[in-house]
Amino acid sequence: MSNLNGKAYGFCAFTATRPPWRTLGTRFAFVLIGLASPRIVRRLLSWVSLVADQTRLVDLSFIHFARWVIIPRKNFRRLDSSQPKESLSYDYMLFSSNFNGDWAQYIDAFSAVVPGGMDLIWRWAERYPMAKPITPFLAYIRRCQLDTDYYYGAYPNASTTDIRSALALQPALMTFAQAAKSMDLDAFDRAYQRFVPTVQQYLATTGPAPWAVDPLEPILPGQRT
Amino acid sequence: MSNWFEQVYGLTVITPILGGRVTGAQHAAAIRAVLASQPNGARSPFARVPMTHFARWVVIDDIPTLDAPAREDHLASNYLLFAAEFDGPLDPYLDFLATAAPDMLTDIYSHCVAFPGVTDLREFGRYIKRCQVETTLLFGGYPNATVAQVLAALQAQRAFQTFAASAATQVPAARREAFDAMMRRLAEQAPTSPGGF
Repeated sequence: MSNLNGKAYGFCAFTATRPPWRTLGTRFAFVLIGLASPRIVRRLLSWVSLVADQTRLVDLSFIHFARWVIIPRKNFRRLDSSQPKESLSYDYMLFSSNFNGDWAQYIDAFSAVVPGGMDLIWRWAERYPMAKPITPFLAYIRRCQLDTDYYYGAYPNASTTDIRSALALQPALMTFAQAAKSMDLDAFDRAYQRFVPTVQQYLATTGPAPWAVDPLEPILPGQRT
Repeated sequence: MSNWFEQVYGLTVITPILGGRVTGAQHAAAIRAVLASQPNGARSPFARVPMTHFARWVVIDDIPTLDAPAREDHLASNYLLFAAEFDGPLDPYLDFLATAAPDMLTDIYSHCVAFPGVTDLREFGRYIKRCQVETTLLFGGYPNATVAQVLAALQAQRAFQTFAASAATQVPAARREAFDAMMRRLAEQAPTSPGGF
């Protein structure tokens, strides 16, 4: 079992909602979030709390991918008559996320930065204590979390910020390199000195995570055990 | 509701494990043993499915219980959750997965109810879709970039980072030469393997 893969943590939780009205409430919350998500809406309605939360969520920049999946209690598939029938009282919502950092940092940041957004989604869930204060919220999340048994990432040593920076740097570098082909030495040097300050914010340090995942991984960046 | 966020597809599959409450725990333990024996990083079976950004399996023994007055719910079977984010669409991904990692999939899903095997790609695809649950909301930090684009960008970033660190102390002629050499290496070198960055 490992929830960690390099710099990424694979989080997974199941929370219960009472059907049908509270599940409908959750669905309605996602409709609102969908309406608040387009960039143009975020720009025009930045003063609306829900829209501001959307922007802050994007700006948090430590989530690779996250998903919410509402699973009605009758949607646990029965594929064969030999399989026992389910008889559940609640519908469930799966939350699955790939993020950088450790568990507590992640949940803390959610509680501190987008409490309104968290509450909008989970206020319909059974026994949800609200995102603030943090202590009962952390206890609730711990209780609902399921550990990951196998976790793969295509770029384990890169954080979300590393990736966004790299995706911004690469086209700028290619454009500069293309223009540099026709420059003499002096022109290249002047252009290079102008180019570096425009991209220096994209120079991230990819590499192993500062916490140990396996015995071969450095305890601190740049160190080998 | 959408499984898509820009060009990324979020697949969620919940498959019942054999045995119900009688021998389900043994099958769940067998699946965990198979998963624990799988290599990760560049040697992971998913590295051979190069459109995969992230993938995970979670064996669900039961629903997490809550304090009273919440009612206590228990599952009648163990379930296996498979969740993956990949460069869509779904059908070619499932074909690719079944072709690239047939042994792993067989070892895992032979402990699941009604698994048809992976030899017939259409049957396997149908099985996965039968157990698929529609994603309510998918969110991504860089949803327009494919795995190949991310890896190429990270490769360029690392190369330029290394170059820029030494270029600061170089004379202009050496800097120019080193820059051209870096760009040549970037153009010529093989792409980084998925899972290996």
